[in-house]
Amino acid sequence: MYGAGSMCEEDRKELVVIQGLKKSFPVRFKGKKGWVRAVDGIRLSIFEGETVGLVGESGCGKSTVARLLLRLLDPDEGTLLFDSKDVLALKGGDLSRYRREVQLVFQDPYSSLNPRMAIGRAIEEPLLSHRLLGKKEARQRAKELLDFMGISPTHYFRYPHEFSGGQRQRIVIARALALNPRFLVADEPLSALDVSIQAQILHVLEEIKERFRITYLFISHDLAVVRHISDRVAVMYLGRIVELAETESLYQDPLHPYTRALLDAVPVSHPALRRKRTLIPGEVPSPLNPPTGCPFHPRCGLRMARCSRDAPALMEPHPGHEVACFVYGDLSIQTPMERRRP
Amino acid sequence: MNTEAGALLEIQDLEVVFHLEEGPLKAVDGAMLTVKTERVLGLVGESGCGKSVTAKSILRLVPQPPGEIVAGKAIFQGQDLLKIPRDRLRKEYRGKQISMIFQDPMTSLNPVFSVGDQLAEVFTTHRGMGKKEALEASAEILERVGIPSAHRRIRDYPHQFSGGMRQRVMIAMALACAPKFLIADEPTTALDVTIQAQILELMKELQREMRSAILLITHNLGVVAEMAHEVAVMYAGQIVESCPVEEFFDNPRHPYSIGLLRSFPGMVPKGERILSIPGSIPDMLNPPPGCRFHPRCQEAMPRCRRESPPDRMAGDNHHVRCWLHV
Repeated sequence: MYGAGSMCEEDRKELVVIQGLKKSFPVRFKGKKGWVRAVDGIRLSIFEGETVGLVGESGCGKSTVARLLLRLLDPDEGTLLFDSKDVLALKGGDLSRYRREVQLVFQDPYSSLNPRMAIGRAIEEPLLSHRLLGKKEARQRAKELLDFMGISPTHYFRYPHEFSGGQRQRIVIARALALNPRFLVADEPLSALDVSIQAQILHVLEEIKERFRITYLFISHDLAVVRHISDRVAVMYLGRIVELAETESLYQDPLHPYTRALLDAVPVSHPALRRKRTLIPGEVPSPLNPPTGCPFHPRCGLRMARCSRDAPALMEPHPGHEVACFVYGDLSIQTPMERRRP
Repeated sequence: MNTEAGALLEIQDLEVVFHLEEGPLKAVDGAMLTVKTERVLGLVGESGCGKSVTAKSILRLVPQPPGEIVAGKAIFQGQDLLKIPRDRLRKEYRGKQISMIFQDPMTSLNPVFSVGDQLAEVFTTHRGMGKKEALEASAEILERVGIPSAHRRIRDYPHQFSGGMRQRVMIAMALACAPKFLIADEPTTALDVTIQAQILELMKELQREMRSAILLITHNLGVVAEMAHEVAVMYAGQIVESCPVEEFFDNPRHPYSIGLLRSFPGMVPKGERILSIPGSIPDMLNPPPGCRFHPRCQEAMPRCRRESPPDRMAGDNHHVRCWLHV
């Protein structure tokens, strides 16, 4: 399950299709009004049953993508399809149904549970508010979920402060599973946890995936964790996806200069592997005032004249391996948006 | 662990207690550590294991009350820092011979003073420089840690710097007096991976240049593999294993160390399953009897539940506290 391409092309059904998605936030900076372009035109398809990892550094827009997917935010532009339905047009009962099928697990298990609600009630609440089960059945289901997540059902009436961080994250995941979602967006689900607990929660997420065949979007800044859990990985930089490929292809043969730098920056796994690094200079520019052309060009060792003028779009130099960089060819011969594979 | 050649700092039998409403909490329970001259010691452990409290005890920065250093020594170049008068500690050691970098560069700088003023203070206090000279020295050291147009930037305030740049400022401040010993408490934890690589590279460079020893506290085994010469693993207030860094990665002995290495995604070879340590970190108000790790240990024996294991040698310079290795 760690390997990529475990499914045949023909069996793959697109569950989530994102096209040209954009979102800006208004800000005031030194008395001037401006816009932060958090998500700047991304395109991504997620197949049913797969895990897509979304990696990038802070401020690259990965959490905004999560919020847009959940429709906690509305995009400025672009389309979002779920199971071939236009999510942005959903209203009333249909929107409510969508929100049952798509669930979000947040980073911080300390703030994503209501401190004044017993954990059992927190888990059954979505079942009751969506009127899926009666009180008795909902309680039964909450207890089963607690048990499945390795928390004793007798803790049903306990409150979040009585649990450790790892246990709280289990409770948050149990709540997300209560509605039998088809798609789970996990936004840095391990970052607030200790190392030994991270591995536990990673196992829980893998087990759920095997058992319930849920599709994941796994958002993280931790490249090692993403490698372990994902079938494909998308790398974001300043609101754009700069590379998208099957996991091993991306880690072993990264194409985008940013992806290379990112992977090179990961600390070694053994002291014998210490080496002199080629560090990328500078820092991520402010999304308030992003560079022209390719967002990475001011820090890029391979930049050419046109990189500061034009923004490269994602193209596919190798089948299944997409990259947005002029080093790999020209925009004018870019493959059509709809085409994924030859 | 007697005084051996090249030891710059030795912590012996350190015990730190926090007097809380719920009762006494022993955050550090008999910790032993040796930092060698010009070497980097990686102190590894999860939150609440006592690694920061151990480090803060060296400079007596543990808030008192509720904290109290109840026993132990911190011998720095023959001098027990836990015994000398506070005044002397402040004038002769803190910031001069021993400096500290904290995890969060956002909160460890004072927001109402310019970065230059804060840096200059180190030079006026410890080097007896005048204000003008101190500001010049500040600009120079900022330039050394890689802050562009340093002469202009010394007039800026902390909020005008990014996280990575603030950490560079902290490093500049810590190294202003070319200390023999630097305590770095999770110096890159708040930073993105590309910035982390920049900061680690800078620390390595400066460590070689200034010939300082570093006590590097981290929960990230990758940072240890990258930086450390020696490793000490802390669990529930005790050092459970310490050894040279290659030995730690090749031949870890304590079940907790082994568990940590196997649960760290970056350490586990591709395709292999990441293993986790069952259970969670013990409640330090009520620590388990015997070996602190036994409730989570797959190899626990009856003896582990009753008696705390002693510190034993399991090879050259390899200390381990585990009944399996007695």
